[in-house]
Amino acid sequence: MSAGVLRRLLRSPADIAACCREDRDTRAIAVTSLIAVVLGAAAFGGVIGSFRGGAQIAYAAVKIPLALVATLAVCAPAFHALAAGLGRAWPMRSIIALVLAAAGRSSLVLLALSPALWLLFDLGLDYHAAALAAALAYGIAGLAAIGILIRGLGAGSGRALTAVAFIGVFFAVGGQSSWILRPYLVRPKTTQVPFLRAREGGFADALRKSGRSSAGIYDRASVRSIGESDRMNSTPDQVRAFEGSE
Amino acid sequence: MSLRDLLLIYAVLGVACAVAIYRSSTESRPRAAVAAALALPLWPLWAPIALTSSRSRPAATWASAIDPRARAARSPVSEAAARVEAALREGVEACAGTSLESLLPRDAAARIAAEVKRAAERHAELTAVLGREGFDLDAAERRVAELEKSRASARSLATARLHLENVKRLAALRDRDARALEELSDLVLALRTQLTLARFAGSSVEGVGGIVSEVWARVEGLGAALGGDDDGALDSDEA
Repeated sequence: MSAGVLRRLLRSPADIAACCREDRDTRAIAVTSLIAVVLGAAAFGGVIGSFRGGAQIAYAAVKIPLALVATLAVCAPAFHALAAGLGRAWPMRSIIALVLAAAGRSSLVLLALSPALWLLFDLGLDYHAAALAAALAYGIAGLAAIGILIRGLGAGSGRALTAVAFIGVFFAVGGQSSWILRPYLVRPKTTQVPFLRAREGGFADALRKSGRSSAGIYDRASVRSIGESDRMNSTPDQVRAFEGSE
Repeated sequence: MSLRDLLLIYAVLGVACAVAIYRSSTESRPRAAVAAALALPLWPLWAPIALTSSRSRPAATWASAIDPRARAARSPVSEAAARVEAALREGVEACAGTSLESLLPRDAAARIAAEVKRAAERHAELTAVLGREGFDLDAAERRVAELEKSRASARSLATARLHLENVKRLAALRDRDARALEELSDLVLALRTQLTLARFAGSSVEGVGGIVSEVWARVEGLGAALGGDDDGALDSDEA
């Protein structure tokens, strides 16, 4: 791990982005970013898991970096192909270094936000507010990642389209990876916490159901799909609100 | 295809990537083993980096990376360092598993590559330092000339001459590093060719041994330069 790369990742994202674009120092950037992803996301996962406590702290600390790394691994070839198709035929190592740098910076932001989130949990945040706070932290971290990504794509035609394509692929793959590895945020009253929930359709199904729920259309199957322990510990209103919230 | 099948294929590809990374690495064996081990779980991300990063331009220092003048000035030397590293890797691959392996073992190649990297980084730092305001050779010479012309005090003149002398020494160090790296690059390229020829022609190691000795002499020369007293004058506030 290079302290110099870490410093540049935090203080000079434009320089890191230029290094990736110009195929300079890609190995050091990739290694340092990968370590930042694992450590930063694990710390954030641990804080998310602390909402329930116990084994869930370790589960979430493992699963959040796992989901992120798995997403990047699946997305990298697609990013390479998209970039080449949209006028940026760069070496694969440049693309991987760029997306790892973006993910590494966002993970460092998550690491920085973890104490604040932990404090909010400790002050008695309820489940939905906790989910919202975690989502907000993800949003801020995502902005930090997009900053590097946009700079890394450099000037020239097709930059916005390439960035949108990258983000679209990342959301689709990342959503499904995260969906497979849930739960992360678990209610404190939940007695039994599985490492993984039983398979209940996919991320796209969840989005569709959530969309219908928000429009006031409740699907009985989606209510049934909520875990037994959650139903036992939730009021009917909470069950409705719980749909797709994890 | 079940999840178990997918995991099995993933693991097989991971092992294949790990072997490829270990065999192609010019780093020392422990570092090569770590790089190979990292490929087992993370090969989709790590293998393209580990297998092709030697084609990437070498690491830049913080100072030179942010200074466009330094960036432009260090390119030929960086390219020479990259050529040395690539030639070493090819040389190690060429003699792996043959009687020539003892002439250029992997650890020795890693030490040479490390010295070359240090020299390239020092050259980049020197270039960055000499590109900064106050380290310009022409300006220092003009300053001395002006002081001489205006018949300034002996103390002012002595200070200006000392500054000029220091800048000249820094420039000489930079130029010496550049020349040494260029010469070493040519020599390592010749070594690689010789090893490849000896392997395919089945010839003796006599010709190769001479070049290897010469390479080591040049590398020791580089190492001596880097460990010299001049290092104290090269501290950069950004590096």
